[in-house]
Amino acid sequence: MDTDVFLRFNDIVRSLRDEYDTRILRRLRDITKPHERKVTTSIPELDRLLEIGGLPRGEVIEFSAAPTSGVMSLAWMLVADAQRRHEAVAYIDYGLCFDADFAAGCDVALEKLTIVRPTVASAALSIAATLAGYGNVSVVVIDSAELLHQECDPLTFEHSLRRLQATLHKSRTTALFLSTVSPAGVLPFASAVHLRLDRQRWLRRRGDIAGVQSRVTVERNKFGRSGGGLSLQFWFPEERW
Amino acid sequence: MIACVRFPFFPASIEERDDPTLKRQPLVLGGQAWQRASVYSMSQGAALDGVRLGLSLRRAQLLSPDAAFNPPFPKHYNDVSGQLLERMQDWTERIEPTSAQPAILYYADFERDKLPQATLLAREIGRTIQHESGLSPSIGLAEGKFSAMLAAKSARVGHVLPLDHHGRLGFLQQHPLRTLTLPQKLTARLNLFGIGTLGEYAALPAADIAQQFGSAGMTLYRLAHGDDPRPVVTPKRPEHLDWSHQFVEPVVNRQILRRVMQQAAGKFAEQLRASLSNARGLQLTVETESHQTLVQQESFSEPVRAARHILFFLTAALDRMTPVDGVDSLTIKLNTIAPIQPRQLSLFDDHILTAEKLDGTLEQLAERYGRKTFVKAKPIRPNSRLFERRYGWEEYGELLA
Repeated sequence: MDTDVFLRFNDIVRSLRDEYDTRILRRLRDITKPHERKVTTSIPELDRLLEIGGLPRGEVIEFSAAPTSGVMSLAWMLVADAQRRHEAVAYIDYGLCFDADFAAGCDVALEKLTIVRPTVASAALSIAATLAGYGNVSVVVIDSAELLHQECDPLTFEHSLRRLQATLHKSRTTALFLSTVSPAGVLPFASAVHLRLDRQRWLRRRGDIAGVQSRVTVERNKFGRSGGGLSLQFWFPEERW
Repeated sequence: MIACVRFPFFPASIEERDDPTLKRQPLVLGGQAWQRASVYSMSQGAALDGVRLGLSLRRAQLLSPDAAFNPPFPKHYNDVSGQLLERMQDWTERIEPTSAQPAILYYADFERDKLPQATLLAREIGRTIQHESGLSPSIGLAEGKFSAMLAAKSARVGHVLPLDHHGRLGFLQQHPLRTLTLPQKLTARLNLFGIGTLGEYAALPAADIAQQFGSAGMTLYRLAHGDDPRPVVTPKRPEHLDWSHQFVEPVVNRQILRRVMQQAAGKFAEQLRASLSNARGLQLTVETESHQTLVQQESFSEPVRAARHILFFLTAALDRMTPVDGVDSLTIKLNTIAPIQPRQLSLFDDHILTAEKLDGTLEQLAERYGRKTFVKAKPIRPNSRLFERRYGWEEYGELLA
């Protein structure tokens, strides 16, 4: 294409998108296909276990585990993978337990990670819904689900969760709730996929604990079979050995 | 036309972009002022104070007492440089990266475009890079590399300086002779003749130059006239890339193998990016404890360059293998390296839109819930022995500033 024509075309497209909406003009390849409505976990075995090749977009996902079972490692792997695809990710740190060093060790680009530290439980879910609806965010990680559940009024929690679900269905965002205290999880009916992690053994290197081996069980899967599982090994970032 | 995209004080401008508080004072990179090390790079403020590359840090502190002293992160600068190179390939595949410390230069060849079109493209490159990377280049446009480089040096940051065929002679004449890399002996002789600028050198008779200074003098004479036949040289493309890893003891755990392959994929991606090429296939060879050799080959349906794509195919190849015992060594060969085909300009660059949209939403949310609610983690003391001291918070207001 001639340079002049191209630049003029570029300007017209930009002005149209500014005037109306960014989605009014799109390349054909950018229009979502059914098989693209998933977020890969970056672990091929787990993606295969989930049957649709990853975690579904536009749904509530729950990871539950006892502490130190690798749930944060799994969540950060998901986040790092999304960031590699230039997708925006937000982390709602309601439990105020964000460990920047560990996240950086799991290849998370901290400069691209928006961290939200709300003081009120209902605000956390409301911010998650807004980010999903208007922020063009690919993954929202909400930590921790049981703290929100405990501190929020049950009716408000139910209402906020429904609003979040409705927003997610219209968007391509995945809301990932982490429950790191109660392995049974706190969103048994709201989540489309619920993965439970149980620590099997510590992994050692030169006598020190260098990682953890956990059993991942699919407790609930709206898009495939539930009940399957596999063992995964999570190695800590090297400096922590 | 050749465009020279110049990022002056490149490492320091990356540091200032990452931590805007550093903009308030001159910046010297190399380490702390009390360390026995030399200046790796510096900001414009420090250069104006007289700080030069290779100077000892103590001397630099004497020259610029108000300067901030930080350790350099060359890998980070290389990564940013690679990203810039990759981004510029959207416009032309003929790009030559050159380092002229403390600046970094990229020569881009728009051979089919005349000056007005090339100027528009150069402006578009400058705008896009500034928007995406937060770094402001100065761009010079001319028919030869030398004139383009001088134009980029003279242009203000964030601006394009185009030189047409007739205007370049007048532009070149005013520059001092030291802009040419002359042999010391030649410089001394020219000084004796009282010749100090390119214009004065270019005004000498060509026959006399050839007689007095030989072929080296004539090459420089042509440059002083704005005649620079040197083409833009893209980095040499290798035919294949090899990588191997020998384990200290046999490995059965596939996660460890995957981790090693992840490192290999990262290195391959760096090499492919540096040579502006793609790979079309790979061969994975695994040797086991019992001297069993397993080989798997993969052909890519599309040319591949990203580390995650290479890792995906490596993992697929490994999954098809069933070594009976521990793995002793891994050898990976990336073959059929091909040049990158030019892509369509980024009309609908999604991640830029995503960032803009997210910023807009965060602005509204920050007004409602308070700016302190939205933060980013930023490294404060990356080398501290205590994990909790390595990172701090950056509030949303500061992010925007």
